[in-house]
Amino acid sequence: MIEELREELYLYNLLRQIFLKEPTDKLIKDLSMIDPPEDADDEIDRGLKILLESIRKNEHRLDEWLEELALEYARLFIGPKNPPAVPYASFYLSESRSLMTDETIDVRKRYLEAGMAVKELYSIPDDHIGIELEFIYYLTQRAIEYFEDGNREEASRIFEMRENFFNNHMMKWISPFVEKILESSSEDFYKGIALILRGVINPL
Amino acid sequence: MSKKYALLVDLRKCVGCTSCQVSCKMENAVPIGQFRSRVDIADTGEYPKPKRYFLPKICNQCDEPPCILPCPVKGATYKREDGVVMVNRDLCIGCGRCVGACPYGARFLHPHIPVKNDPSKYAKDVPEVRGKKAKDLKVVDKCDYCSHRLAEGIEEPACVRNCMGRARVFGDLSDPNSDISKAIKALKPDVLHPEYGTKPRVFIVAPDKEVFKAADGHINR
Amino acid sequence: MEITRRSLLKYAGVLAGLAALEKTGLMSLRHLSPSEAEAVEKAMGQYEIKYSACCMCPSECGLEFWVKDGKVHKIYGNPNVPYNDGIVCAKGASGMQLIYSPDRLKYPMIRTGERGSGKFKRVSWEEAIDYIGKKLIDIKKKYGPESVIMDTGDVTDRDQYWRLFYAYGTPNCVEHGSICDTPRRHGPKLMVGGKRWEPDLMRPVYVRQPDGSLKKDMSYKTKLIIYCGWNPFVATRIMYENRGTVGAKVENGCRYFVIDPSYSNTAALADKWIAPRPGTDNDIFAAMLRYILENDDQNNPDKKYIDWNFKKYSKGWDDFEKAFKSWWHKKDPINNLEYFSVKWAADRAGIKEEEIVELAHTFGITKPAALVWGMQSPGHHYNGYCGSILGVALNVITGNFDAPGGIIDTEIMKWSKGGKGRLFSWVENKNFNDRIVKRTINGKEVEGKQSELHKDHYGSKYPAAWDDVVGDYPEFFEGKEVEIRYGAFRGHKYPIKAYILRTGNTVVSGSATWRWREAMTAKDAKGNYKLELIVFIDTLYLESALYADVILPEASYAERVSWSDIYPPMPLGYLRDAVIKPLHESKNPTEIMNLIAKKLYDLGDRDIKPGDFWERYKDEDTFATDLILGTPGKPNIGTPLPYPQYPEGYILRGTPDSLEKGNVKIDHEKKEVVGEQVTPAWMRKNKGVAIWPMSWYRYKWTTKEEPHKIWPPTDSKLIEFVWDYTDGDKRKGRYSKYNVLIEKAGGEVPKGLKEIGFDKFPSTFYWFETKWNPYTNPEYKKYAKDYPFQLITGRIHHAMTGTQMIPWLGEIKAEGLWQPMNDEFEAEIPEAMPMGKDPMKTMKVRFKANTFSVGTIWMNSDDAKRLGIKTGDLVIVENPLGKSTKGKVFASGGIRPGVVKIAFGSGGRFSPGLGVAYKSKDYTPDCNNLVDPEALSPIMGQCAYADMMIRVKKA
Repeated sequence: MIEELREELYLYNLLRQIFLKEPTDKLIKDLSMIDPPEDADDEIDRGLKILLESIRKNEHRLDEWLEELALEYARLFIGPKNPPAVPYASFYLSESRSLMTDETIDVRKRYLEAGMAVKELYSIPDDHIGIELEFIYYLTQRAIEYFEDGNREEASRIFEMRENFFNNHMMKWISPFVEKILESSSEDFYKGIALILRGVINPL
Repeated sequence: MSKKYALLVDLRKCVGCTSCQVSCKMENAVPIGQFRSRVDIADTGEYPKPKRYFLPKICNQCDEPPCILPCPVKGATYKREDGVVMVNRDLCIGCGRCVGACPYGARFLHPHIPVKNDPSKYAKDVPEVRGKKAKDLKVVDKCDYCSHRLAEGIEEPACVRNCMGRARVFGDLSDPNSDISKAIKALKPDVLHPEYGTKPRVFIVAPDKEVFKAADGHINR
Repeated sequence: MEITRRSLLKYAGVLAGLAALEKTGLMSLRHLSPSEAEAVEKAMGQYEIKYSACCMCPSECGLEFWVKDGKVHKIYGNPNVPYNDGIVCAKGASGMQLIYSPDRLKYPMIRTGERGSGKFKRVSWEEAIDYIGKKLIDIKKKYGPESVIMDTGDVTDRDQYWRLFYAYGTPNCVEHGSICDTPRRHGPKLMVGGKRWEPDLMRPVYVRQPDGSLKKDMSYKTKLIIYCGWNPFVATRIMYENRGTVGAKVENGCRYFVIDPSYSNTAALADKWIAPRPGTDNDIFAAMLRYILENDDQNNPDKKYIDWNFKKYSKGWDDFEKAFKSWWHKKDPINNLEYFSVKWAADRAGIKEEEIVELAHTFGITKPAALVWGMQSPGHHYNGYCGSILGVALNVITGNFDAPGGIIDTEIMKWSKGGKGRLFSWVENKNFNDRIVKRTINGKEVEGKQSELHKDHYGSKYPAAWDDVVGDYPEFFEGKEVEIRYGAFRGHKYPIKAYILRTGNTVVSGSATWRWREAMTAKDAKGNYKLELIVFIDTLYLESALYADVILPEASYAERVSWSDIYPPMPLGYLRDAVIKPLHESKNPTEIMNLIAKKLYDLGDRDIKPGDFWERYKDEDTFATDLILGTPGKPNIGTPLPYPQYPEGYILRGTPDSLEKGNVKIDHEKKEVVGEQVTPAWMRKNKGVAIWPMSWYRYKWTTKEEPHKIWPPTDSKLIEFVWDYTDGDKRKGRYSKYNVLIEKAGGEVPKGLKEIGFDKFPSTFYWFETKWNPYTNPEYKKYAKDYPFQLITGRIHHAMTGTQMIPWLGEIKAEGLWQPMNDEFEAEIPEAMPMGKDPMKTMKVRFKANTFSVGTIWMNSDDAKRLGIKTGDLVIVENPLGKSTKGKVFASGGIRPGVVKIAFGSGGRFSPGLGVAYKSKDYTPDCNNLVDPEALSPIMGQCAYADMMIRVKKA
């Protein structure tokens, strides 16, 4: 079980890194060392395949491509105005399509329960996709630690918290968010990671 | 001893600005056309001796509240120990009996707050709600001295906070040293329509008693 | 427990072992200590309190916003700002209905139909800025940059726009001054370098005690106030005059009188209401001064009116008195009585002689006292200057100026603001307006400063228009050229080709509405608009927007950073903060400035330097800080001395706490005490406000009865009763520089002065009559039979030009001017929501007849009866110029017979952006349609809004 959790940890780490900021040189180089899965029968596989192939294709012009990825990241998620894939849960969950709504506060409460808070509290909405993925990453890590220490009780508590965050929050908005990326990005790197994200959160 | 909240309005300092009226709407999300707090303004007299009266009004938080008795749901409206006459939105079935019972017109049915309690439980005795669903009925609303602020320890309703002339004094009648206790002792204020026998707990310092005749409108007309 | 996602992870393992995915630190989240966690938990779902400043009216009170989830939920006054001391008025409290109004301007727009048709298409910011930039470049090339007028109608947060357009090259950056009350301010500016005089009623103030501590002083000292044409309870809310007037009355036994043809709310609580004919304020003041001079007896305590010490602190009284007295033996042609006698004034004003005597005597004998004149008296009459000058004189000679409980100039001890941040080029290291520019005049190339191209200051009409003239724009929009008649560019002419209007609504307020509508749409023979560019920048869609080529949505007052500092008796400043993010596509002024600047630069305008704009001002805070560099910048003067630890008279700079703690450098050469710079960040840590100590008698030393000649800011540093005098070989006095200009131009008299028969600016007391007044000016007697009423105007604070759209304010009534007399209508309004996340929701609401306030026509009930009119009747009001307006009558005993009053901007509102107000446009009056657009007061070009004769008939 710990092993399975460890595997997950890598996946969440990858996801949070890619959604929190534009990819680094190091991350791309690391990724280029792995082989794409042979068959692709679920979204994670498919996503991973697309992602890794996009790296292969652009390896020879890495600097240039990184620049393009940075621009695409900004265009998709930041703006200047009306980014095509707004990266905040509240945008999808509130009637008014606004940010910093009750949903945001709900997410803040969940972080708080785990003794955590957003580094720049009150200026960044807490329900940014990257932050939420980091939260999952963090909970997974803690669960592993408790298992290793033999503290099964704490481990289960953290685990429950994690499941709850998946089922009662992330599952509700990831699909439309992923749709937005798929329909508005021409960059396979982001299409790939979007599929992986959907595969992880909303298994078909 | 429990606190006993009351309000005093000193008309010598009321500049007729109606900030109390609008501040209340802002604080309590009062719908357009209805009022928890309202300034009655009356122009009388002929040139060169005209008069203009300002009479700010809110629920009088009566010690003998005529609005409680007709309520068919126990606890839906009640007077708290601290003197505030409250509405319990979870219990109110929106029959409107208390609205008609208040001689000052201090109550209204709030168009944006549907009833939560099940009216069918009371259908037998309350024909006003018979055959109606909770969502079609609206709860009653009225001034409660900004009880949500009181609950946070802010003993200052919004109308007092934003009073332009500093004409309003709010406080605890149980404390003889409170500003309001001292003001009542020194200024011998009136209350609105003492003849109703409702024992209002909103006091008015009125140098010109004509104001009570000239500005005699209901809060919600 | 089982891992539900396990099956999904069959290939996840491939990621294992990648260095980048080995245990890495947290990027966006952090651990909380238990106490931190508790604090966050407590704050959760709670409101965040943010201090800011209002801008629903020009009073700009300090506010406390309660914000939750990025939305404004509550608005109160900021208790730390002494101006409003924790209070906010009805209008301020209704701010959410403006911020969340469905009628706000939401995105940039470009006109698609004819001007005035209201047809626009939505465009991107890029398109809008591109359109403006190209036009500005073209106009600059064809006509010169001075052809552009930047009119920041409202004074508030204007500095970004002025900065941009000064840099672009036009000196014509203006605000609404001359459609406000310039004659009212004239006396104070002329005589002490100041502006508006208000009673010393602002409490609390912080006062230095003998033991060195600062005391929060709440006590009122005033014993008498006379408000003439001034209505603080309803019109401009000088916030502290509300609680202060009734506070001084109840707590200090202060009496107050109101002089006003209408029974204002201020009059309703006064000890005495005196209702003269409109336009006779000057007469009453002149008679008061004559009475005091004639009856003063220093040996009789009951007649010791004058405090002759004033002569030590002033200059030129003897000349002033001589000029004033020279009228006493002359007879006024209108009534054959001696000027300024009690009898004369009583006859002209239509009040009793005893009333004038009582005013003069009571004012002379009661100390401390304040005689206050308002916007609606000298402020809006053609000859208001005379009353304003007399008002200053009366307060000074009775010893009330800058005395505790007396009267205070609320301009000249303000913290310093503007200066370098607005006018100064960081790149060129000089004032934009001092740039040397060249123009070719009659074939000759001439050099001068950019400022010398100013339409008014060097133009042919009103060179002493300190606050610019707005009322005459229509003739320039229609093609008349600006003629520079004074200074280096004498003989230069230029057209006005672009009008950038920001937070103003001149079509309704800038003189006669019909005149502005004509001018904004005037076309040349080819069918092109003569005025080539109109840009409208605002939060609201007002009438002027209908004529714009481009509309830019500006962030509301809750969404931008700036300063507020209105009418303080001592240095005081508070932050306007962006408490929420700009809604819709609106942008704050700093962003808009940078966008236009960058565009001009990209299109090749090298007067614009990146280092003066976008490179320096990356955020609003930097701009705000530059605006108040070196503030408060006022001297350490007055009794008790604000900072006894520093030398008297030294200029104080820096935050109150740094000055208090001695965190300062003292520069004895410059005579400055320099502490830490005030910044928005400092403000946010200090409840949004900086307050420096109050003192009085600031014109003299604390230790001796002698003037220190540091203050007031006149040429002699004394109170000046003369305005053109020589000191050695220097010409001094505030009018002298204009007379020098006139002399250098071979004695050419400006149009304004010519109108009243003056050949230069007078050196001391002067007098002339107003217009459209048959009781004081014989020229207008002939109209009296057909136009038997005098029309006056006034402000209903709740219902001014931009805020009538707010439904909560329609539930108020005010005087006879704003009454529940609507016809039934339906409108989409922002309705407060008691449940859910959003404080406001847009809903369609039906308003029954006579339940909602609209602008009305106020007339005397006996007059109405005589005309067969009753309250609620629709009438037509006409003037001798053939113009008219329509509205419903409110008849009462609260207005002098023969007088009709209509509130500014209260009716006839024809922009659909005004929501509920637009619905009543057909039966509510527009008083400005009746203004004489040619009657601009002769010295500063102010519209004479309160000088008009009318008749009333049933519609």
